[in-house]
Formats: sequence, C-alpha cells, structure tokens
Amino acid sequence: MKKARSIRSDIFILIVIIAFVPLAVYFLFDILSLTKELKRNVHKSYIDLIVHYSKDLNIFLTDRIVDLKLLSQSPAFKSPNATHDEKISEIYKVQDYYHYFSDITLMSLDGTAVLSTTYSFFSDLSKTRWFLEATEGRSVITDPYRDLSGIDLKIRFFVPVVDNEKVVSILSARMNMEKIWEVSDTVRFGETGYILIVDQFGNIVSNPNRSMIFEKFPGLPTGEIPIDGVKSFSVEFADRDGIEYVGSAVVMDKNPLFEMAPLFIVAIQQKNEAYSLSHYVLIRDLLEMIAVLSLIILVSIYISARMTQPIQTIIDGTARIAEGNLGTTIDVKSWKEINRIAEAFNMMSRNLLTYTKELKSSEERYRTLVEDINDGFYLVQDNTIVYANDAAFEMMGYERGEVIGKIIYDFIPKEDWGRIASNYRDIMNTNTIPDKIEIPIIKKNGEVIYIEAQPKIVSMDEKDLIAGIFIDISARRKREEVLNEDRKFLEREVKKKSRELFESEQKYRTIVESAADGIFLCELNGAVISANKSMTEILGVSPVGMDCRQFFERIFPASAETDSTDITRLIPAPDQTTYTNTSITVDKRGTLNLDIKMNAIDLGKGTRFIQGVVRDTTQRKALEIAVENSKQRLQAAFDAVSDRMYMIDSDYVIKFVNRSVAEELSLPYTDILERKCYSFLNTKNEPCAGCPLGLVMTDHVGITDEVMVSDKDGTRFYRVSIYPVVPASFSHDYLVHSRHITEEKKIQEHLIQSDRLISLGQLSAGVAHEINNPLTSILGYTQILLQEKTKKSEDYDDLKIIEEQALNCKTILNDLLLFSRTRVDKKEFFSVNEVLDGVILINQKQMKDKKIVLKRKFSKNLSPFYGNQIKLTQVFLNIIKNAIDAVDKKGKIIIATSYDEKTKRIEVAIEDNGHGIDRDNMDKIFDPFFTTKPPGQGTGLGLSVSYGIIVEHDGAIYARSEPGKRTIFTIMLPSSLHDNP
Amino acid sequence: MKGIFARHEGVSLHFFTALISIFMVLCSILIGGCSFCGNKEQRLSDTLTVLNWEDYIEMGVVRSFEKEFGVKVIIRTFASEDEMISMVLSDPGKYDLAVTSESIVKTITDMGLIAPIDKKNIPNISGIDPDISNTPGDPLMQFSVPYLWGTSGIAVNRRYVTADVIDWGILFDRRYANRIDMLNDIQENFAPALKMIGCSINARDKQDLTRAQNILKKQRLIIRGYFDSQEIQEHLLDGSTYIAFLYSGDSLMVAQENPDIEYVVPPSGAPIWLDSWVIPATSKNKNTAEAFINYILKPENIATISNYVWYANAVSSSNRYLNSELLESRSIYLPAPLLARCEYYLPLDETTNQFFNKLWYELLR
Repeated sequence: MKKARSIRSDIFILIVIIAFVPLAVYFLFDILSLTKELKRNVHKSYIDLIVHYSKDLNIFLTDRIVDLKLLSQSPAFKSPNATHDEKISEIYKVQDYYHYFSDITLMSLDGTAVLSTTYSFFSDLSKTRWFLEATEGRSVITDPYRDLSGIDLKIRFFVPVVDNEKVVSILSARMNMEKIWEVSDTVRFGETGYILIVDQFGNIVSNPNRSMIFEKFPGLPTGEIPIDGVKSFSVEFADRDGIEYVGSAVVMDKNPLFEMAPLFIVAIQQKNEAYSLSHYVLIRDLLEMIAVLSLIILVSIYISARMTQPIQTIIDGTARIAEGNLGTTIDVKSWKEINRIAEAFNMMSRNLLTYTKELKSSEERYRTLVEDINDGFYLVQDNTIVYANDAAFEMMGYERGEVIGKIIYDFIPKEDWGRIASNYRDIMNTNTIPDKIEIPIIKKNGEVIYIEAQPKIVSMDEKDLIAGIFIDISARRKREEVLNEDRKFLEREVKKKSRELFESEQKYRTIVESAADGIFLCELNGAVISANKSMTEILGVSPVGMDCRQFFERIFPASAETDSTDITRLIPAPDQTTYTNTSITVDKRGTLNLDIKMNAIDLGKGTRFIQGVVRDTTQRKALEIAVENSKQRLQAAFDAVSDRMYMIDSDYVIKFVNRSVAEELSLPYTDILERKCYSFLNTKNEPCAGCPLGLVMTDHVGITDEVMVSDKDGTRFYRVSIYPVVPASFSHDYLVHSRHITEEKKIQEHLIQSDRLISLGQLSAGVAHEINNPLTSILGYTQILLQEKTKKSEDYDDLKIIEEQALNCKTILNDLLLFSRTRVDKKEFFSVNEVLDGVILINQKQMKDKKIVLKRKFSKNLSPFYGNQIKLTQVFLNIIKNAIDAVDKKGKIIIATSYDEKTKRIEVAIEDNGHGIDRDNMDKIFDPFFTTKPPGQGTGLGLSVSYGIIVEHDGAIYARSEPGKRTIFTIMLPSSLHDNP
Repeated sequence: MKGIFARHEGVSLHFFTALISIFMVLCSILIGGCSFCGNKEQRLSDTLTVLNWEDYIEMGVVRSFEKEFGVKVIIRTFASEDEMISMVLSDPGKYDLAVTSESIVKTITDMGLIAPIDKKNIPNISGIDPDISNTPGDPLMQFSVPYLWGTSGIAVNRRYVTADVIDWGILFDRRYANRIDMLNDIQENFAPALKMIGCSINARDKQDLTRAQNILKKQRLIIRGYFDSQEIQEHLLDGSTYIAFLYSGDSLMVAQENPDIEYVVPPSGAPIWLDSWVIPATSKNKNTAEAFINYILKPENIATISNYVWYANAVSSSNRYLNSELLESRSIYLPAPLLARCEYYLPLDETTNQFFNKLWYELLR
C-alpha cells in the first residue's frame, strides 16, 4: 500500500529547501573562487621564483659561452705559426682557471680532433647537428646527455673559431651538469619545494638532490610539455612513491648568443604543502556549511511540529470516540478556524453520548424478557442468527460471539441442510407455521444434539425474521436409534454367514472338478469314495467304488520297467497313523507317463482319508527329449565348422565354444566354459583395449575385422566376425567367429605382386622398344667418332664415356625386355643341376677373388626339367650374383637342390651368410628397379625378371632373410614328367 | 504519533542522500574531469626511420614490409658507429631504429640512449639461436635483438696478390704501398696492429696500445687512407686497391662483381662481431620499430637479407632458405678451429675510450 504523504514532512522539506539551497550555492561559489585564487597565488609565487632562476641560469650559460669565445679569439688559434703546445696551453688556461669545463677540444672543420685536454668524447662529434651548426658560425649548447659511465649528465659547448669572418676551427668544451646544480642547489622553498631543470623530452636533468633525479621522479609526462609559444604552465604529477606534486614551469628564454634546445625550469612542491592554505579554507567552509545546515533542520522540525499540533489533537480525539470513549472533548488553542473546528467537535461528542445512553436503556428492558426464560430463544434473519438468549448458548455450548452473526447452517450437519432449507422456505413463503421441527445441532465439542423448535415469523424494522423457542430432545432420540441399530445388525450378520458358507463350498468343488490333475479320495482300506473329471479321463473309467490298488494294477500291470511294489508302497497300511507325502513317476510302456502323489489327510475326530493326485506328464517328457536332440544337433553343427567359434555374454564370459576351439586349446569343453575370455585366452585382468566385442556391445551391430596376433610363434592373421545374438532370451550373448587367414593373406599378396609385374612388364616393353632405336643411333655414331679419334685426342675420353654409358643403357634395356616378355619362347628338357654348375663356373673368378667358400648339395635323383634353359640360367645367375655381392670376404654360399616326391617339385635353395635383407625392404625386392646396391652396380631388374621367369614356368620363388646372418632364396619348379609333350 | 514521525524521518533521509549524491557528481566532474581511459590499441605509425649501414639490408624485404603494414620506411645510413651515435644523440626523436654492433650495446644502454625491447611485440625473437644471442653485453636481449654477424678480415685482389697464406702482415707490406685501404673506425683499426704484436684485440694495456699505435703510424705512410666500408668497396671494385681491411659481407659482395677479389679470414684469428637492432630511447614509434624487427626475423626474410648482403644471420631456422654458396662458404660460416681463434670486441670504459681517442687523433694529426 502506498503511504500517504504527511503534512508535517512536506512542510519540513519545503523549509529546508528554501533555506539551504541558496546557502549551498553561496558556499560552493565561495570555496571555488577562494581556492582558485589561492592556487593561482601559489603558482604565481612559483613563477616569480623560476623566472628569476631561469635568468640566473641563462646568465651562467652565457658566461661559459663568453669564456670559450674569448679563448677562440686567442691569437694562438689564428696564427698559422702557432704550435700545438702553444694552443694547448691556451686551452688549459681556460679549463684550469674556471674549473667549469672537464674537457676542451679543438677540432678541425673536417671533424678531426686536433687537440684535446682529455679526449673524453665517445662518438664522432663532427657528425652531430651541433658541430654542423657551429661550422656555420653559431655557438651551440647541446642537450644534457649521459656519458659512458651512465651516471653523470653532461652538456657540451661548441664555439666556432673565426678568423677574417671565416670559421677556421671549432672549440668544443664539455661541462658536467653538476656545475649547474651548484647554482640551482641554493634554491629551496617550503619543506618540499625544489627547482628542477627539464629537457625538451620531459627528462629531469637537474635537481639539488641528485638521487631524487633518478630514483623518485619519472620525469614530466610528455603531455605536460607545452607547444611552442607558451612561456609558462602548471604541472602536476606523482613521484615513484605516489606522492603528488604540483608546480609551475617556464621555458628558459632564448639567448641570442647561443643556440640551445628549449630547457624548462620547473618549481615543484608537494601538493599537500602547496595547497595547505586552500585546503584550510575548504575545510572551514564545509564546517560552517554543516553547522548552518544543522540549525536549519532543527528550526524546520520545530516549525512543522508547531503548525500541525492542533490537527494532531483533533485526530487523536476522533480516534478516542471511535474506540468508544463517547463524550471526549479536546482543548485546542490555535488559529481561529481551527479553534472553531475544535468547538464543533466537542459539541458533537457530547450529543453522541446523550443519544446513545437513551437507546441503550430502551434495549435493556426488552432483552431482560427473553434472557430470563430456560428454553432457548432465537432470532434468525436471512438464515443468519441475529440473536439468541443465554439458555440457547448453554444448550449449544458456544459463547455469544461464536453464534451471533453466523448463518444457521454453520451449526447443522451437512446432510440435514436440504431439509432445513425447505422448511425455512416453506415458513417464509407460505407463512405456514409447522407444528414442530427436529433440528440436529453440532455442539462446540463436536457432539450432535437434537432440538425441537417451533419457528414463528415476526416482523422487525420492516423485515421478516424467524423467532422461536427450542428445547433439547437429544436423549430421547438416542434411545430410539440404539434399538433400531441392534436389530438391523443381527439381520445382516445372518445373511452374510450363510452366503459365505455357500460360496466356499462352491469354490472348492469347482477347483477340484476343473483341476487338470486327476484327484481322488479313498478310505484307509483303499476304497475310492470320490474322484474328479480328470481322473476319469486319465483312467478311462470312473474309479469311484474301486479299490485304488485295483485300478493301479489295471493301468500298470507289472512290467520290466515298473515295479508294482513301488505303487502299492504308496498306499498306506490301514493301521498306519502318520503319513508322509510320497510320489512316484510311472511309465506305462512308453506311451503314458504319470506322476502319482499320495497323501493322507486327517479331518479330525479320527476320520482319515487318503488323497491321491495323478498328473499326466507324457507331453512334457516328449518335449524334454526333443530339446535335448536339438541341442546336440546345434553343437554338432558348430563343431562341423573348422573355424573357431565362441558364444560370449556381455560380461565377457565364454558360454559356448565349438570343437575347433577345444582342439586348439587341447582342453575339454567344460574347462573352457564359464571363464572370462580376456583372462582365459589373453591372461589379462580386464577386457583387452580396443576389443571389437566391446564395440559390438555398444552398437548392437555385427562387425568383421582382421586381427593380427604376434607372439613367439610368429605373426598370424585372423578374420574375426562378431554378431549380437538377437532372440530375447539370449539378448546379451555374442557370437564370435574367428578364421585363420595368414595363408590366405600370403596368397593375396603374391597375386598382387604378379599383377603389378605384368602391367609393369607391358609398360617397360613399350618404353624399352622406343628407347632402343635412338640408343642404337647414339652408340653407332659414338663408335664412328671414336674410330676417327686417336687415343691421345682431346675428345677421346669424353666419347669413351658416352659409349660406356650407352652400353650400360643397352644392358638395362635388355634386362627390361627380358622381364617384359610374357611367354616362354623355347622349351626343352634339361638338368637343373647342370645349369647350376654352368652358372657357378661363370662366377668362379669373382668368388675366388672374394675368397668365398661354396658348398654344393645337389640331389642326384632330380628329374629333368622341361622349360626355357636360357631363362632359368638367367634366374640362377641373378640370385647367385646377388649372393656374391651380399657376402663379405671369406663368406659362404650354399647351393642345394632336392626333389619332393609328394609334391613332385624340384626345389633349389641358394643360401648366403651376407648382410641379409632389411625387414622393410623384404616386400619390395621383387619390384622392378628396386635395388640397394650403389648406383651403377645394379639395374634393380634382376629379381623382378627372375620372378617373372619362375611364374612363367608355373613355379614359385621365395626369399627368407635374417638381417646380418643369412638369406635363403628358394625356387620351386614343378616336375616336368607329366608335361612331356 | 510514532507512525507519523517514522514517515517523516524516512523522507528526509532520502532527500539528503539525493542532495549529497548530486553534490558528489558535481564535485567529481569539477575535479577529475572525464576519467574514461584512452584506447590502448597499439597502432603502427605512418613512417619509420631506420639508421643502418649502407647496403646492409635487402630492399625487397623493406618494400614488402611497407606494403603489408602500410608504413613508410625511411632508411638513413651511417659510415661508422661513432657517426650513428652522434646522429641519435644530436637529433633526438628523429630515429626509430638503429643497427649497432653488440660490443657497444652495454655502453649505449648505460648512456640511456636506447629503450628496452618489448619482446611481446617480437614473437619471432624465439627463432634466434641462443648461442648467438648470449653475448656479454646483453645476454637476455633486453635492449638489443641480434641481426647479422660476420668478421673483419682482409679482402685481396688475386690478380695482384698471389701469396698462398694471407695473414695480418699483408696490411703492413711495403710492396703494396698506396694499394692498401683501412677502415676509419678506431677500435677496428687497432685490431690488426694488436694482432701483429701478438696481443688480443681487446688489449687494454697502455704500453701495448702505444706499441700498436707506433705500427699504425708507420703503416699510415704506406696505406692509401682510412675510408668507410662503402668507399673501400668501390676501390676494390675498380681494382685501384689491392688489399683492404674490410668486413666479410662487404668483401664478398664485391667478390660477386669482381671475381678477382677474395675475402680471407686470417688464420691467426680475426675480430668477429654481431650486429643488433636497437631502438633509440627518444623514438616515438617504438611499436612500429618492434613490428619491423619481428618482420625482419622471419626466417625467409632474414635469409633473403643474408643471401643479398653475404652475412650470416642469427636465425638458425633460416638455413633452409639460404643459398648453398653462402651456407658452404668457409669465410662466412667459419670452420670451428678458426672460429675458436676469433674474438668479440669488449665494451670500452671511459679511460680506455679516452686513451683510444688520444692515440687515434694523434695518428690522424
């Protein structure tokens, strides 16, 4: 809720604003103008000081220039006869007399130092801007700069030596800035006031306290350096400790005597000290302002309270009347109008008191009439109880305030609202008065009582009310109700019990009758007294009246499989008092299977019966056999597969394996099942990293992958397929199918190699043919040229090289052509051993040179081979040459031939103990142009040509190598006996 | 009563708060002015003035920098390091970047002549070979960034000089009177003389230096003169000078045009030096200077420069862009035993500097 504004606070704010705003404006203006004035005075005093100092500095520098000018005018510098000694003594006079300069150097116009007192300059002075200006006849003073030590600040003077109005040489003098500090040192003001000299880049180059220059002040921010034409300006900055300084600066006046970059003279003082007076004024004014403001607030509170006091009194009086204090009067002394309001208020209050008293006494009289009767009396208007007497409250158990003003239904239970409402309507509409109405009433404690009322319509204030007297009839009503309840309860109980009894019997009968198992009951002597429908169906006849022993014998005559004593054992002896449950399965000639269970029951009072249950299990038995057969068939199917198969569940437990697995592991099935695959097959503690099974488990899609397994037995390849087993009951099993494909892969690689060779062969045949013709021309012409030249001729050696290289090309081309030829040209029978002997003979000299030991292990029962002898010679030549190249001196080469009766193949093995073939190169050795020999020594075609020839002969060639130990080339050739044309 | 009083108090408090805040805002505007920070984004300047030896950079690299960054590069040249220092000292604010030999970096740093390098702006500084950057003057590259390095040795015209072994003595050989050029640099000039008397090029003993000066005095009578490297190159090119004491790259550049010229690093060892980039303290375009250094240090750029000026550079990863002639030249990338006999110049202190000045100007007089 929004708060209403108060007259008093509005008046208060109005007064404060009217009084304070002009005051605040006045103080603000006062503070601003005063501090501004004071600050201006501070800066003015600084400027007075530094202007004075700037003049001093200017005079000091002028004096030094004059010193040098006087020196320059010395006749010793002008006279052409003056010696160096004369000149230098003049220079020393100036340096030693004044003690201002630390070095004076006389320089020729080309920049060479002619004479110098100390030679203390670091760079080439002649290339400086200052030197150049000096050669034009002007005196120049440099910016302050640091020397080699990095600590001292120096300035340098350049003064021209003029003779006959021509500059003949330059005098250059160096001065330590300390000489200037000696002047500025004397200036101090206040506790923290200093004078600084600042160069054109804002660097502080002078200060009385030397360490302060380099340690405390960072220099003037370059933004502070004013543009040309400004003579003085204020500065404000903080030192490295964060202490704020203010000050003023002036530019040192230009001096017509010398040229110098602008220097700034700066007076600085700590801000606190500099502005202490203006701070004092500011604080004083603020304190005054706060005092006046407090006064205004106090006066405003008093006035606003004074003005609103009478109004507040009238409000308080009204509030007291409202609380029931009639006749309250107030005493107000204020403005005339407010006094009149107060009088009217007092009169109103007094009259109100009088009238109210009269009204009350009249009402009191009537009230007594009804209050005194013992029966309840009430007045109801529009369903609302407007009055009730004490007797009524007592009866209902409520206080007065809890009843008056409430509607009647608040006291009547819900179920009776309808009846009471219709009665109420009847009375009000038809004006008929019913004889007596019973109304239930809820007492305060929750108890329901009944009253008997005789309502009547009475008119009051032009409105119809119902009034009447009522009495409590609860006790009477209770007695009647109790009697009624008892009777009803008895009737209900009888009905319920008889129905339950009937239902129970019916239920049991139905259960027994409709049971799928046969059920019968017999006396202890075996006489069947009852049997259900299923029993009749199983036996084919109702057993009631039979002896149970009889019908058992009827169904199951004694046979080899069934011992009838087993059945009779089931039937308890007549004198037996305790019985145990016993059951037996009987088989009636393989067609009927029965499961019989007999059981004694005691109905109490010595009445005992035997109960029998007979279950037909024929169908179940047949199903079990079928399941077992199916299982065996499945196992047999899996076992028939030569690849390895597993069934693994989602916990990596092996659930099933086929025979291949069991055979490979040489373990019985039972030792493999229920083991974790990773621990059992791979001896790991967790599923193998990257296990494809894991992938299938997440994706539920079968995959096939090739897996390489390397161990001490070598490298093997497996193609592993994994499929999730879909049926709901096996939803978490996975079928793993693993096939050993190492051989398959090897064959594949061979196929690829052959393909590659064939296409390369075709290509190289074309190329070789094209190149052969031009090459022949080259060779031919070279040889013609060679014939024309003598051996001593200048070009003979060059031509010889061309010839040699062309012949080299020829050899390569021949190899290429041989490699590319696709069919065996001329076939004949020949002995492989003889061919090998021939090849060895060709290489004998080379082997001797290298002192190679050769071993021949030729098989004597080798059958002759049918093929191209020249080409096979080529193959053996290539391989044996390679072997000779591969072995070191005193190496060993073994050449063995053998014949395999089974495969009908001739095998030639050429072994050497040379450097071997790197694993990386192993699959490239049959590639054309692949060679590891140095350039020029091998064409890289030998082995690929050999490969082609062997394949042409339906043979095979393999290489095995242990790098550094040995290499074995094995050539297998099909025995040619059956090939004989 | 209480209710009314409470309300009145609330209103008056609000009123005061408002008054005070208005007052404070007014005050802050009067005193502080606008306190928004300026934009700190680093922008490159329009021009960059670089102080360099003549012909000591490949202009193609400079042009491509200008094109890429929109900065006009003005190159001013100097003939000696003294001249360079003088230019920076006497014209503050004019130069933004300078090449200087590593031996004086410490000296000019102490003089407050150069500003510290902001390595953040030169990411390519990481490519500098640490063996090269680890110099006595500025091992951490706080003030200088290595550029090129080379030797001061002897250029000879093989048409006239046939001796097999060329050592320092040839510079003092009367047979070649008026055909010998020397550099007009104080420290460089004393090096051959000091080597002749068997001293280190960094000898500080006054007697040794005076002995060296005596040799130089005699030599002065037979040499053609003291020249800057550019003049010596011209003399070698036109064949008027047979023997010159000159920097390796300058000699090899001449050898490109005059095949008779051969550059020799004397077998007894030669001065070796490293030139670095420095930024004058008064430069107003420090960021741009650093951007330029960074651009130069790109391996392909510095290799282009090396290929042109025939000096080895400080960026080892640039080798793959270098001409093979350069990379294989035994007078640029020196063989280790010879390199071991070479020496860096050490910085001069005030007293030695004065003494050198004195000896030199006595010589010139």
